Amino acid sequence: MGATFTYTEAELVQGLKARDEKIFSYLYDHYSPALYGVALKVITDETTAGDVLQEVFVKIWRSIDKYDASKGRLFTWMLNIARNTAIDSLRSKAYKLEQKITDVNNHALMYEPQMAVHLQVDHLGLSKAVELLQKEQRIIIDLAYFKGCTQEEIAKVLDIPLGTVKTRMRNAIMQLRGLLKQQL
Amino acid sequence: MDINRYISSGVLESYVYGLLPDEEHSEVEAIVLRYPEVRLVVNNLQQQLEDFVHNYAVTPPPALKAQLLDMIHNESTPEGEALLPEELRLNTHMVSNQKAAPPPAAFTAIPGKKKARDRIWKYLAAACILILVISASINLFLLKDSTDYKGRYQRLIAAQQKIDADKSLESNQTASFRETEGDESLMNDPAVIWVKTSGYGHHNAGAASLGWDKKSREVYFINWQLPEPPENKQFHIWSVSDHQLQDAGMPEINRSNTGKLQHMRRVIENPKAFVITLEPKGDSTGPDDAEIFQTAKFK
Repeated sequence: MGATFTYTEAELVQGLKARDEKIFSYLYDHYSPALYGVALKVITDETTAGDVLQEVFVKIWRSIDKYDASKGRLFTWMLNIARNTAIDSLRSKAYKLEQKITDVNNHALMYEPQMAVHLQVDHLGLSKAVELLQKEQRIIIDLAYFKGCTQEEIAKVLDIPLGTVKTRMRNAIMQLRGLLKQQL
Repeated sequence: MDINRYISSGVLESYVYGLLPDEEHSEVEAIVLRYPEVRLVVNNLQQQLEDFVHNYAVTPPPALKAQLLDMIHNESTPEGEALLPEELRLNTHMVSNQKAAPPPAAFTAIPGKKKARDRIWKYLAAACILILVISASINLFLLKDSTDYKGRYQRLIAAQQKIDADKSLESNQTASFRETEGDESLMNDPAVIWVKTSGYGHHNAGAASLGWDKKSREVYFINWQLPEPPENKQFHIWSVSDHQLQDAGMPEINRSNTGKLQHMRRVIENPKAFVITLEPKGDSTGPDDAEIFQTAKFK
Protein backbone atom coordinates (compact mmCIF):
# COMPACT_ATOMS: atom_id res chain seq x y z
CA MET A 1 0.00 0.00 0.00
CA GLY A 2 1.35 3.41 -0.90
CA ALA A 3 1.93 5.79 1.96
CA THR A 4 0.27 9.21 1.79
CA PHE A 5 2.78 11.97 1.52
CA THR A 6 2.15 15.57 2.26
CA TYR A 7 4.35 18.38 1.10
CA THR A 8 4.86 21.89 2.31
CA GLU A 9 4.31 24.68 -0.15
CA ALA A 10 8.04 25.32 -0.39
CA GLU A 11 8.63 21.65 -1.19
CA LEU A 12 6.00 21.74 -3.89
CA VAL A 13 7.60 24.79 -5.50
CA GLN A 14 11.05 23.23 -5.25
CA GLY A 15 9.79 19.95 -6.69
CA LEU A 16 8.13 21.66 -9.63
CA LYS A 17 11.27 23.65 -10.33
CA ALA A 18 13.24 20.40 -10.26
CA ARG A 19 10.78 18.94 -12.86
CA ASP A 20 9.67 16.24 -10.42
CA GLU A 21 6.67 14.52 -12.01
CA LYS A 22 5.67 12.89 -8.73
CA ILE A 23 5.23 16.33 -7.17
CA PHE A 24 3.29 17.42 -10.23
CA SER A 25 1.02 14.43 -9.87
CA TYR A 26 0.48 15.25 -6.19
CA LEU A 27 -0.30 18.85 -7.08
CA TYR A 28 -2.84 17.70 -9.65
CA ASP A 29 -4.54 15.31 -7.24
CA HIS A 30 -4.90 17.96 -4.57
CA TYR A 31 -5.75 21.05 -6.57
CA SER A 32 -7.37 19.94 -9.82
CA PRO A 33 -10.93 19.73 -8.40
CA ALA A 34 -10.83 23.35 -7.22
CA LEU A 35 -9.27 24.59 -10.45
CA TYR A 36 -11.62 22.52 -12.60
CA GLY A 37 -14.53 23.91 -10.58
CA VAL A 38 -13.42 27.45 -11.38
CA ALA A 39 -13.04 26.63 -15.07
CA LEU A 40 -16.50 25.05 -15.12
CA LYS A 41 -18.04 28.03 -13.35
CA VAL A 42 -16.58 30.36 -15.97
CA ILE A 43 -17.21 28.28 -19.08
CA THR A 44 -19.88 25.71 -18.09
CA ASP A 45 -19.00 23.46 -21.04
CA GLU A 46 -17.25 20.39 -19.63
CA THR A 47 -15.07 19.63 -22.65
CA THR A 48 -13.75 23.19 -22.87
CA ALA A 49 -13.28 23.30 -19.10
CA GLY A 50 -11.23 20.08 -19.36
CA ASP A 51 -9.04 21.64 -22.06
CA VAL A 52 -8.63 24.71 -19.88
CA LEU A 53 -7.61 22.58 -16.90
CA GLN A 54 -4.92 20.84 -18.95
CA GLU A 55 -3.66 24.17 -20.21
CA VAL A 56 -3.57 25.49 -16.65
CA PHE A 57 -1.44 22.63 -15.40
CA VAL A 58 0.94 22.86 -18.35
CA LYS A 59 1.28 26.58 -17.60
CA ILE A 60 1.98 25.81 -13.94
CA TRP A 61 4.58 23.22 -14.96
CA ARG A 62 6.27 25.50 -17.44
CA SER A 63 6.03 28.83 -15.59
CA ILE A 64 6.84 27.81 -12.05
CA ASP A 65 9.96 29.99 -12.22
CA LYS A 66 7.68 33.02 -12.56
CA TYR A 67 5.91 32.27 -9.29
CA ASP A 68 6.67 35.01 -6.76
CA ALA A 69 5.97 33.92 -3.18
CA SER A 70 5.92 37.55 -2.00
CA LYS A 71 2.70 38.13 -3.93
CA GLY A 72 0.75 35.27 -2.44
CA ARG A 73 0.52 31.58 -1.80
CA LEU A 74 1.12 28.96 -4.49
CA PHE A 75 -2.55 28.08 -4.66
CA THR A 76 -3.52 31.74 -5.12
CA TRP A 77 -1.09 31.89 -8.05
CA MET A 78 -2.51 28.68 -9.54
CA LEU A 79 -6.02 29.98 -9.03
CA ASN A 80 -5.17 33.18 -10.91
CA ILE A 81 -3.80 31.15 -13.80
CA ALA A 82 -6.95 29.02 -13.85
CA ARG A 83 -9.32 31.97 -13.75
CA ASN A 84 -7.42 33.97 -16.37
CA THR A 85 -7.07 31.00 -18.72
CA ALA A 86 -10.76 30.21 -18.40
CA ILE A 87 -11.79 33.82 -18.99
CA ASP A 88 -9.45 34.08 -22.00
CA SER A 89 -11.03 30.96 -23.38
CA LEU A 90 -14.48 32.42 -22.77
CA ARG A 91 -13.51 35.57 -24.66
CA SER A 92 -11.75 33.77 -27.46
CA LYS A 93 -14.92 31.87 -28.10
CA ALA A 94 -16.38 35.18 -29.22
CA TYR A 95 -18.79 35.55 -26.37
CA LYS A 96 -19.69 39.15 -26.91
CA LEU A 97 -20.34 41.62 -24.15
CA GLU A 98 -23.95 41.96 -25.23
CA GLN A 99 -24.44 38.26 -24.81
CA LYS A 100 -22.83 38.37 -21.38
CA ILE A 101 -24.93 41.32 -20.33
CA THR A 102 -28.09 39.71 -21.64
CA ASP A 103 -27.31 36.57 -19.68
CA VAL A 104 -26.53 38.50 -16.58
CA ASN A 105 -29.53 40.75 -17.01
CA ASN A 106 -31.65 37.68 -17.01
CA HIS A 107 -29.81 36.55 -13.91
CA ALA A 108 -30.27 39.97 -12.35
CA LEU A 109 -33.98 39.64 -12.87
CA MET A 110 -33.92 36.20 -11.31
CA TYR A 111 -31.98 37.54 -8.41
CA GLU A 112 -34.61 40.15 -7.61
CA PRO A 113 -35.71 38.68 -4.30
CA GLN A 114 -39.37 39.24 -5.07
CA MET A 115 -39.09 37.28 -8.28
CA ALA A 116 -36.75 34.59 -7.09
CA VAL A 117 -39.71 32.85 -5.48
CA HIS A 118 -41.04 31.95 -8.88
CA LEU A 119 -37.85 30.58 -10.32
CA GLN A 120 -36.43 27.26 -9.37
CA VAL A 121 -32.73 28.05 -9.68
CA ASP A 122 -30.76 24.93 -9.09
CA HIS A 123 -27.47 25.36 -7.29
CA LEU A 124 -26.32 21.79 -7.08
CA GLY A 125 -22.98 21.25 -5.47
CA LEU A 126 -22.92 24.56 -3.66
CA SER A 127 -22.35 24.62 0.03
CA LYS A 128 -24.80 26.30 2.30
CA ALA A 129 -22.42 29.20 2.88
CA VAL A 130 -22.57 30.27 -0.72
CA GLU A 131 -26.27 29.64 -0.91
CA LEU A 132 -26.81 31.83 2.10
CA LEU A 133 -25.02 34.69 0.44
CA GLN A 134 -27.60 37.27 -0.54
CA LYS A 135 -28.45 37.02 -4.20
CA GLU A 136 -27.32 40.57 -4.84
CA GLN A 137 -23.96 39.86 -3.22
CA ARG A 138 -23.54 36.59 -5.02
CA ILE A 139 -24.15 38.13 -8.40
CA ILE A 140 -21.50 40.80 -7.94
CA ILE A 141 -18.91 38.16 -7.00
CA ASP A 142 -19.97 35.96 -9.90
CA LEU A 143 -19.71 38.82 -12.36
CA ALA A 144 -16.33 40.01 -11.13
CA TYR A 145 -14.62 36.74 -10.44
CA PHE A 146 -16.17 34.16 -12.68
CA LYS A 147 -17.21 36.23 -15.67
CA GLY A 148 -14.28 38.63 -15.61
CA CYS A 149 -16.51 41.70 -15.94
CA THR A 150 -14.91 45.09 -15.50
CA GLN A 151 -16.18 47.62 -12.97
CA GLU A 152 -17.86 49.52 -15.80
CA GLU A 153 -19.66 46.41 -16.99
CA ILE A 154 -20.82 45.57 -13.47
CA ALA A 155 -22.06 49.13 -12.95
CA LYS A 156 -23.99 48.87 -16.21
CA VAL A 157 -25.45 45.46 -15.54
CA LEU A 158 -26.49 46.17 -11.97
CA ASP A 159 -27.49 49.72 -12.85
CA ILE A 160 -25.43 51.26 -10.06
CA PRO A 161 -22.94 54.15 -10.12
CA LEU A 162 -19.38 53.18 -11.00
CA GLY A 163 -18.13 54.47 -7.65
CA THR A 164 -20.45 52.10 -5.81
CA VAL A 165 -19.04 48.92 -7.40
CA LYS A 166 -16.02 48.64 -5.08
CA THR A 167 -18.02 49.25 -1.93
CA ARG A 168 -20.65 46.73 -3.04
CA MET A 169 -17.85 44.27 -3.73
CA ARG A 170 -16.44 44.87 -0.27
CA ASN A 171 -19.83 44.37 1.36
CA ALA A 172 -20.34 41.18 -0.59
CA ILE A 173 -16.96 39.80 0.42
CA MET A 174 -17.45 40.80 4.06
CA GLN A 175 -20.72 38.94 4.10
CA LEU A 176 -19.05 35.96 2.46
CA ARG A 177 -16.29 36.04 5.05
CA GLY A 178 -18.82 35.77 7.86
CA LEU A 179 -20.56 32.87 6.17
CA LEU A 180 -17.35 31.00 5.43
CA LYS A 181 -16.30 31.35 9.06
CA GLN A 182 -19.56 29.77 10.16
CA GLN A 183 -18.94 26.94 7.74
CA LEU A 184 -15.42 26.17 8.98
CA MET B 1 -1.47 57.71 3.28
CA ASP B 2 -4.45 56.82 5.44
CA ILE B 3 -4.03 53.05 5.52
CA ASN B 4 -7.24 52.30 7.39
CA ARG B 5 -9.24 54.28 4.91
CA TYR B 6 -7.46 52.55 2.06
CA ILE B 7 -8.21 49.14 3.55
CA SER B 8 -11.88 49.94 4.01
CA SER B 9 -12.29 51.46 0.53
CA GLY B 10 -12.99 48.08 -1.07
CA VAL B 11 -10.00 48.30 -3.40
CA LEU B 12 -8.27 45.29 -1.81
CA GLU B 13 -11.32 43.08 -2.25
CA SER B 14 -11.56 44.18 -5.86
CA TYR B 15 -7.83 43.48 -6.27
CA VAL B 16 -8.00 39.94 -4.90
CA TYR B 17 -11.13 39.11 -6.89
CA GLY B 18 -9.55 40.38 -10.11
CA LEU B 19 -11.78 43.35 -10.70
CA LEU B 20 -9.14 46.05 -11.09
CA PRO B 21 -7.76 47.30 -14.40
CA ASP B 22 -4.04 46.68 -14.98
CA GLU B 23 -2.68 50.03 -13.75
CA GLU B 24 -4.70 49.97 -10.55
CA HIS B 25 -3.69 46.33 -10.05
CA SER B 26 0.01 47.26 -10.18
CA GLU B 27 -0.59 50.16 -7.79
CA VAL B 28 -2.12 47.84 -5.22
CA GLU B 29 0.74 45.37 -5.64
CA ALA B 30 3.22 48.13 -4.83
CA ILE B 31 1.25 49.17 -1.75
CA VAL B 32 0.97 45.55 -0.57
CA LEU B 33 4.74 45.24 -0.64
CA ARG B 34 5.17 48.52 1.20
CA TYR B 35 2.59 48.23 3.99
CA PRO B 36 2.57 45.01 6.10
CA GLU B 37 -0.91 45.74 7.45
CA VAL B 38 -2.27 45.90 3.89
CA ARG B 39 -0.44 42.70 3.07
CA LEU B 40 -2.06 40.98 6.03
CA VAL B 41 -5.52 41.98 4.81
CA VAL B 42 -4.70 40.81 1.29
CA ASN B 43 -3.39 37.47 2.59
CA ASN B 44 -6.61 36.97 4.52
CA LEU B 45 -8.67 37.84 1.49
CA GLN B 46 -6.68 35.42 -0.67
CA GLN B 47 -7.22 32.70 1.90
CA GLN B 48 -10.91 33.49 1.91
CA LEU B 49 -11.04 33.35 -1.89
CA GLU B 50 -9.44 29.91 -1.75
CA ASP B 51 -12.07 28.75 0.74
CA PHE B 52 -14.74 30.25 -1.48
CA VAL B 53 -13.67 28.47 -4.67
CA HIS B 54 -13.45 25.15 -2.82
CA ASN B 55 -17.22 25.41 -2.65
CA TYR B 56 -17.31 24.93 -6.40
CA ALA B 57 -14.75 22.08 -6.57
CA VAL B 58 -15.64 19.34 -9.04
CA THR B 59 -13.50 16.24 -9.68
CA PRO B 60 -12.29 16.40 -13.29
CA PRO B 61 -12.74 13.43 -15.64
CA PRO B 62 -10.09 10.80 -14.71
CA ALA B 63 -8.70 10.55 -18.26
CA LEU B 64 -7.44 14.14 -18.06
CA LYS B 65 -4.67 13.33 -15.61
CA ALA B 66 -3.17 10.56 -17.73
CA GLN B 67 -3.20 12.82 -20.80
CA LEU B 68 -1.61 15.63 -18.86
CA LEU B 69 1.13 13.44 -17.41
CA ASP B 70 1.76 12.15 -20.91
CA MET B 71 2.10 15.70 -22.16
CA ILE B 72 4.62 16.80 -19.61
CA HIS B 73 6.49 13.51 -19.67
CA ASN B 74 7.05 13.75 -23.39
CA GLU B 75 7.22 17.51 -23.63
CA SER B 76 10.78 17.46 -24.92
CA THR B 77 9.88 15.22 -27.85
CA PRO B 78 8.06 16.40 -30.98
CA GLU B 79 5.20 13.98 -30.23
CA GLY B 80 4.79 15.36 -26.70
CA GLU B 81 5.07 18.91 -27.95
CA ALA B 82 2.32 18.24 -30.46
CA LEU B 83 -0.01 17.26 -27.62
CA LEU B 84 0.33 20.67 -25.99
CA PRO B 85 -2.01 23.57 -26.71
CA GLU B 86 -0.47 25.56 -29.57
CA GLU B 87 0.42 28.66 -27.58
CA LEU B 88 2.27 26.62 -24.97
CA ARG B 89 4.59 24.90 -27.40
CA LEU B 90 8.22 25.84 -27.04
CA ASN B 91 9.42 24.50 -30.37
CA THR B 92 6.60 25.27 -32.73
CA HIS B 93 8.80 24.77 -35.78
CA MET B 94 9.66 21.28 -34.60
CA VAL B 95 6.01 20.36 -34.32
CA SER B 96 4.95 22.11 -37.43
CA ASN B 97 7.65 20.29 -39.35
CA GLN B 98 6.55 17.08 -37.79
CA LYS B 99 2.92 17.68 -38.51
CA ALA B 100 3.43 19.31 -41.88
CA ALA B 101 1.44 17.61 -44.55
CA PRO B 102 3.52 15.60 -46.97
CA PRO B 103 4.17 17.34 -50.24
CA PRO B 104 1.41 16.66 -52.74
CA ALA B 105 1.92 13.56 -54.79
CA ALA B 106 3.53 14.20 -58.13
CA PHE B 107 1.09 14.73 -60.92
CA THR B 108 1.03 12.21 -63.65
CA ALA B 109 3.44 13.33 -66.29
CA ILE B 110 1.74 15.07 -69.16
CA PRO B 111 3.08 14.03 -72.50
CA GLY B 112 5.18 16.83 -73.93
CA LYS B 113 3.63 16.85 -77.34
CA LYS B 114 -0.05 17.14 -77.99
CA LYS B 115 -1.78 16.77 -81.20
CA ALA B 116 -3.14 20.08 -82.56
CA ARG B 117 -6.49 18.47 -83.39
CA ASP B 118 -7.02 17.48 -79.76
CA ARG B 119 -6.37 21.03 -78.66
CA ILE B 120 -8.98 22.48 -81.07
CA TRP B 121 -11.62 20.09 -79.76
CA LYS B 122 -10.77 21.08 -76.21
CA TYR B 123 -11.13 24.82 -76.99
CA LEU B 124 -14.43 24.18 -78.72
CA ALA B 125 -15.77 22.18 -75.80
CA ALA B 126 -14.68 24.89 -73.32
CA ALA B 127 -16.36 27.62 -75.42
CA CYS B 128 -19.62 25.62 -75.55
CA ILE B 129 -19.65 25.15 -71.80
CA LEU B 130 -19.00 28.86 -71.26
CA ILE B 131 -21.87 29.86 -73.55
CA LEU B 132 -24.18 27.41 -71.78
CA VAL B 133 -23.29 28.84 -68.36
CA ILE B 134 -23.81 32.45 -69.49
CA SER B 135 -27.15 31.60 -71.07
CA ALA B 136 -28.34 29.77 -67.95
CA SER B 137 -27.32 32.73 -65.74
CA ILE B 138 -29.23 35.23 -67.93
CA ASN B 139 -32.34 33.05 -67.81
CA LEU B 140 -32.11 32.74 -64.06
CA PHE B 141 -31.66 36.49 -63.66
CA LEU B 142 -34.68 37.27 -65.81
CA LEU B 143 -36.82 34.69 -64.00
CA LYS B 144 -35.87 36.12 -60.61
CA ASP B 145 -36.60 39.64 -61.79
CA SER B 146 -40.10 38.76 -62.93
CA THR B 147 -40.96 36.97 -59.69
CA ASP B 148 -39.52 39.92 -57.80
CA TYR B 149 -42.19 42.20 -59.31
CA LYS B 150 -44.86 39.93 -57.90
CA GLY B 151 -43.13 39.98 -54.47
CA ARG B 152 -42.87 43.74 -54.49
CA TYR B 153 -46.53 44.12 -55.42
CA GLN B 154 -47.56 41.83 -52.56
CA ARG B 155 -45.32 43.71 -50.13
CA LEU B 156 -46.88 47.01 -51.18
CA ILE B 157 -50.39 45.66 -50.56
CA ALA B 158 -49.30 44.33 -47.14
CA ALA B 159 -47.76 47.69 -46.24
CA GLN B 160 -50.93 49.52 -47.27
CA GLN B 161 -53.03 47.18 -45.13
CA LYS B 162 -50.72 47.73 -42.16
CA ILE B 163 -50.96 51.51 -42.52
CA ASP B 164 -54.77 51.28 -42.62
CA ALA B 165 -54.77 49.04 -39.53
CA ASP B 166 -52.42 51.36 -37.64
CA LYS B 167 -54.56 54.33 -38.55
CA SER B 168 -57.70 52.74 -37.20
CA LEU B 169 -55.90 51.63 -33.99
CA GLU B 170 -54.52 55.12 -33.48
CA SER B 171 -57.93 56.70 -33.92
CA ASN B 172 -59.43 54.27 -31.39
CA GLN B 173 -56.72 55.03 -28.89
CA THR B 174 -56.90 58.79 -29.27
CA ALA B 175 -60.66 58.55 -28.83
CA SER B 176 -60.21 56.92 -25.45
CA PHE B 177 -57.64 59.45 -24.35
CA ARG B 178 -59.82 62.32 -25.34
CA GLU B 179 -62.31 61.43 -22.66
CA THR B 180 -60.37 63.53 -20.19
CA GLU B 181 -58.36 66.47 -21.40
CA GLY B 182 -55.92 66.18 -18.49
CA ASP B 183 -55.12 62.56 -19.21
CA GLU B 184 -54.18 63.34 -22.77
CA SER B 185 -51.66 65.94 -21.64
CA LEU B 186 -50.07 63.39 -19.28
CA MET B 187 -48.92 61.42 -22.28
CA ASN B 188 -46.77 64.36 -23.38
CA ASP B 189 -45.83 65.71 -19.96
CA PRO B 190 -42.01 65.64 -19.69
CA ALA B 191 -42.32 64.97 -15.95
CA VAL B 192 -44.02 61.65 -16.67
CA ILE B 193 -41.84 58.70 -17.64
CA TRP B 194 -43.67 56.16 -19.78
CA VAL B 195 -42.55 52.59 -20.26
CA LYS B 196 -44.12 49.73 -22.16
CA THR B 197 -44.10 46.58 -20.11
CA SER B 198 -42.15 43.44 -20.98
CA GLY B 199 -43.80 40.04 -20.85
CA TYR B 200 -42.70 37.80 -17.98
CA GLY B 201 -42.38 34.08 -18.66
CA HIS B 202 -44.76 33.12 -21.44
CA HIS B 203 -46.78 36.34 -21.24
CA ASN B 204 -46.81 38.72 -24.21
CA ALA B 205 -44.63 41.80 -24.17
CA GLY B 206 -46.22 45.22 -24.36
CA ALA B 207 -49.47 44.20 -22.70
CA ALA B 208 -49.60 47.48 -20.78
CA SER B 209 -47.98 50.89 -20.41
CA LEU B 210 -46.91 52.37 -17.10
CA GLY B 211 -46.17 55.98 -16.36
CA TRP B 212 -44.66 57.60 -13.30
CA ASP B 213 -44.85 61.29 -12.56
CA LYS B 214 -41.57 62.47 -11.07
CA LYS B 215 -43.29 65.51 -9.50
CA SER B 216 -46.56 64.18 -8.16
CA ARG B 217 -45.14 60.60 -7.77
CA GLU B 218 -48.40 59.30 -9.18
CA VAL B 219 -48.45 56.06 -11.20
CA TYR B 220 -50.48 55.79 -14.41
CA PHE B 221 -51.54 52.63 -16.11
CA ILE B 222 -52.92 51.80 -19.54
CA ASN B 223 -54.02 48.31 -20.40
CA TRP B 224 -53.57 47.09 -23.96
CA GLN B 225 -53.69 43.33 -23.84
CA LEU B 226 -53.99 42.08 -20.26
CA PRO B 227 -56.87 39.62 -20.06
CA GLU B 228 -59.82 40.12 -17.75
CA PRO B 229 -58.91 38.38 -14.48
CA PRO B 230 -60.99 35.44 -13.19
CA GLU B 231 -63.62 36.37 -10.59
CA ASN B 232 -61.55 35.43 -7.57
CA LYS B 233 -58.39 37.15 -8.79
CA GLN B 234 -57.10 40.67 -9.33
CA PHE B 235 -54.20 42.35 -11.06
CA HIS B 236 -51.84 44.29 -8.83
CA ILE B 237 -49.10 46.77 -9.67
CA TRP B 238 -45.99 46.87 -7.50
CA SER B 239 -43.14 49.30 -7.71
CA VAL B 240 -39.67 47.90 -6.89
CA SER B 241 -36.90 50.17 -5.63
CA ASP B 242 -33.77 48.92 -3.89
CA HIS B 243 -35.60 45.72 -3.06
CA GLN B 244 -38.38 47.65 -1.39
CA LEU B 245 -41.85 46.95 -2.62
CA GLN B 246 -44.43 49.69 -2.87
CA ASP B 247 -48.04 49.04 -3.56
CA ALA B 248 -49.12 51.02 -6.63
CA GLY B 249 -52.67 49.72 -6.52
CA MET B 250 -54.96 47.46 -8.48
CA PRO B 251 -55.96 48.42 -12.00
CA GLU B 252 -59.35 47.62 -13.43
CA ILE B 253 -59.11 45.32 -16.40
CA ASN B 254 -62.15 45.02 -18.63
CA ARG B 255 -62.97 45.43 -22.27
CA SER B 256 -64.34 48.93 -21.93
CA ASN B 257 -61.24 50.46 -20.41
CA THR B 258 -58.62 48.98 -22.74
CA GLY B 259 -56.40 51.81 -23.93
CA LYS B 260 -57.66 54.19 -21.25
CA LEU B 261 -55.43 55.85 -18.73
CA GLN B 262 -55.99 54.86 -15.11
CA HIS B 263 -54.67 56.80 -12.13
CA MET B 264 -52.98 54.50 -9.67
CA ARG B 265 -51.48 55.11 -6.21
CA ARG B 266 -48.54 57.37 -5.62
CA VAL B 267 -45.17 55.76 -4.94
CA ILE B 268 -42.73 57.80 -2.91
CA GLU B 269 -39.44 56.01 -3.61
CA ASN B 270 -38.11 56.35 -7.16
CA PRO B 271 -39.16 53.12 -8.86
CA LYS B 272 -36.48 51.00 -10.51
CA ALA B 273 -38.99 48.62 -11.94
CA PHE B 274 -42.67 47.77 -11.92
CA VAL B 275 -44.18 44.35 -11.66
CA ILE B 276 -47.75 43.49 -12.59
CA THR B 277 -49.01 40.37 -10.88
CA LEU B 278 -52.19 38.36 -10.79
CA GLU B 279 -53.08 37.45 -7.22
CA PRO B 280 -56.02 36.11 -5.22
CA LYS B 281 -58.58 38.83 -4.51
CA GLY B 282 -58.12 40.66 -1.23
CA ASP B 283 -54.50 39.57 -0.84
CA SER B 284 -52.24 42.59 -0.69
CA THR B 285 -49.40 41.16 1.34
CA GLY B 286 -46.98 41.08 -1.57
CA PRO B 287 -46.41 39.29 -4.83
CA ASP B 288 -44.90 36.19 -3.26
CA ASP B 289 -47.80 33.92 -4.09
CA ALA B 290 -48.80 35.78 -7.18
CA GLU B 291 -48.11 35.09 -10.81
CA ILE B 292 -46.01 37.72 -12.52
CA PHE B 293 -47.47 38.85 -15.83
CA GLN B 294 -45.48 41.91 -16.81
CA THR B 295 -42.37 43.77 -15.72
CA ALA B 296 -41.09 47.21 -16.65
CA LYS B 297 -37.62 48.56 -15.97
CA PHE B 298 -37.19 52.26 -15.22
CA LYS B 299 -33.84 53.88 -15.91
